[in-house]
Amino acid sequence: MKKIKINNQKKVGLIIVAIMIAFVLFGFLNRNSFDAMNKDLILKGSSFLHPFGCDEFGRDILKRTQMGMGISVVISFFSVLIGTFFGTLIGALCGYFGGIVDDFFTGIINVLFAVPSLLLALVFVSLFGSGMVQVTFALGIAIIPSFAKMMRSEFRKQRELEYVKMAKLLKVPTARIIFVHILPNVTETFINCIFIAFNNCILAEAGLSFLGIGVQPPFASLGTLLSDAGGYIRSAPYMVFFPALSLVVLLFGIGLLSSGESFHHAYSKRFKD
Amino acid sequence: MKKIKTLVLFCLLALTTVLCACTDDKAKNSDSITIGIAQDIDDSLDPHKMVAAGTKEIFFNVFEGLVKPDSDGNIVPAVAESVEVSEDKLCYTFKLRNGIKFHDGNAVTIEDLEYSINKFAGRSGDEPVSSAFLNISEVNVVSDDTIEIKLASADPAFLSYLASVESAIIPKSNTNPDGVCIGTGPYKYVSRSPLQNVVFEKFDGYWGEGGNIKNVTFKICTNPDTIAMELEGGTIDMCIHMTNGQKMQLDKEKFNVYEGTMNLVQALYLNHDFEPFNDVNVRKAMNYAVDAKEVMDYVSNGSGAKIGTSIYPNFGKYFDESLTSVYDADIQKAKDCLSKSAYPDGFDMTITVPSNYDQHVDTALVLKNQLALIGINAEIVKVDWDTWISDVYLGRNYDSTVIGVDAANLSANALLSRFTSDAGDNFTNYDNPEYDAAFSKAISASDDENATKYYKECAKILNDDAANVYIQDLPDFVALNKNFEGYKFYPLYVLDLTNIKAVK
Repeated sequence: MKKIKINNQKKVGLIIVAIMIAFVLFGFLNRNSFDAMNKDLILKGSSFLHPFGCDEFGRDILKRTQMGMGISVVISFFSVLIGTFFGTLIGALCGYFGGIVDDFFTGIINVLFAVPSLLLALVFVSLFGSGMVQVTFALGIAIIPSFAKMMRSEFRKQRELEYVKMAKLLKVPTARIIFVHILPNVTETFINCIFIAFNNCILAEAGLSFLGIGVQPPFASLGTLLSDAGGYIRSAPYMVFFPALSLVVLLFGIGLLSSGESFHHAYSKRFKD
Repeated sequence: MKKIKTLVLFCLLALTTVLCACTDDKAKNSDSITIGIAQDIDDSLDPHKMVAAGTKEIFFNVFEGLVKPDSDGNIVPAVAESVEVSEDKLCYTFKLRNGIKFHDGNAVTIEDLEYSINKFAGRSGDEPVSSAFLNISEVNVVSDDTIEIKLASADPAFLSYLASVESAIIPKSNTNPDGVCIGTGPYKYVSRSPLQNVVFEKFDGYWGEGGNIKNVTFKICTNPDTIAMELEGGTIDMCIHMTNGQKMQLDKEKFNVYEGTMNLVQALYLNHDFEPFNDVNVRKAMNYAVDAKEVMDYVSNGSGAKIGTSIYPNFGKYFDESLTSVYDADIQKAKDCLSKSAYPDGFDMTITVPSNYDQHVDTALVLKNQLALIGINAEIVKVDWDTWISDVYLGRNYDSTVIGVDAANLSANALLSRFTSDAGDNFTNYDNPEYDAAFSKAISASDDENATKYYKECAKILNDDAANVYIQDLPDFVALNKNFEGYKFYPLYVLDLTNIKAVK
């Protein structure tokens, strides 16, 4: 089993993500309410009590950004969990067994690939209604195809390697070969995939919310915060600025975490070993 | 070689950038205008079957009835040149306007009139567009240019029902009115691209003065957040029904903003089939809990008109000012009312709002907070417009909804008929025998004074019974690029294109 190398980029990424998570958690200490309206604070700029300013209903933008990011992260986390689980399972089966199993699942996945993932999510939401849970599932399902493809090619490569052949000769149960022998050897790709999917999820959720089918008001995600604020970009630019800044920083942090070694580089190194 | 390649690439890039700045100047001439509207026109093109207020609003320019309303609320002749009313008020004789033509170039004949009247009045098998037309007993063609309509009982508001898109005159020869749109109005329908636009063109054969602008394109802008940007960017020249927030973003140098009221009854409409809402105490509690003034403060910076019942102030004689203050916000009274019901500690409900109308979504947000004060937990469900029409308005499958209801014509009947228990458009499932009785007295009243009295009684019943949580007649902001002028508000929910002209 290979250890994941922590390079400098990953370190910086880790620090940024930790700061952003702390930012969300500090929201619980913020005593402003995310949906309490206040007539006197409508579109007021930064102040000591409301450092990010207030929106068109006089609600505290700091608290809303904290909560919004929390919701975005939670949705993305569970979507990635769903996507990863099924994606890995399907990918592993296809890659390891090949043959008819591979043809069958790859066929389905190719069809899913032909449909843009946002459209897929839209269809799901229109079938089951909108709301946090539905969006989570919709995004999770949208991730599966790309994940499965990635895992399939990894498993195909691994199954030809000596240690797998040896394990087969020793009559190690197939499930054990797949999940105990091979899986740890694809960790690097696996982790990178997760981070990329997480990144995409946050953006896709923002996109879905922007279309008005994600989180329902008065709750907000980063996407809805931005879409609501878009209209006030002239009169109250801070309404857009702070949520957007938080989103950019979070994505930057996750991006750094997932970078480090490129896939190609990782593969070539492994074969050299 | 490499240098040349780089140079060529750079030139191409520069050229692309420069060309991007070229806009289509032709679009900016005075012959055409692009108007932003919030919803797609996916109704039937048959005026007698149109449902959405937004559809009827713009098709006001395409279809005309025998008579039509003007901007002061008077009823003026349209397809009919003149109308005579018999002394017993039971017989209306219409004289067909000489030389009037349909958009396809054919002359309007007396058969078209007979066909249209029978069609919209429900005398040829269809549902009547308004229950008021059930009162028609006979439609007789007297001569080549005269037709008479006889009523079973006198109805002083009869002409106002005819002054509506719903009772438009359409050609008998058109076998597919759902898909082919032929009217007599100053503009003719050209085309529609779903979710993109609807195109009208000036009808040169119009009998009256007609419009000033040749091509009119309605651009569907379902995202309320981009409307100000589209106006600023010049993709639309005009936008109707803007919110205060959108208005604030506009550059005053470039746009004239007209302010009026939308002529809508905006309310939290309650589905009376939903469990807690069949209890009058619950409804009263909600009425006391909601502070309409505060809604206006948040949603439109204080503008808007309080209503109190299903009549808005522009309805003049039918509007009863005193009803607006019956349910002034009072949390204690609200709690008292709620404690008399089966839900003393509140309950859960949902508010379904169409996401393309910022005003309604914002209103729902404020209502949620106000209702929370008496323990009612409202959850907001945003749906797109098509879903709203099919699930809420037609399917009646909802708890409550925030929406504005318009009047098809200038009679109180248009606003009040939907609350009779057997009305096809009674989307709130309101069922009150006392109301039905008062309403039937109103439509059968022989003179206007009596009718008004009973209509006001109907309005009072809606208020007493707290049928819905009435909020306001929304302020209406219309932004018009300074290249154009002449927008006029009507006391109805219509957009008259003929007044708009380019500034020379």
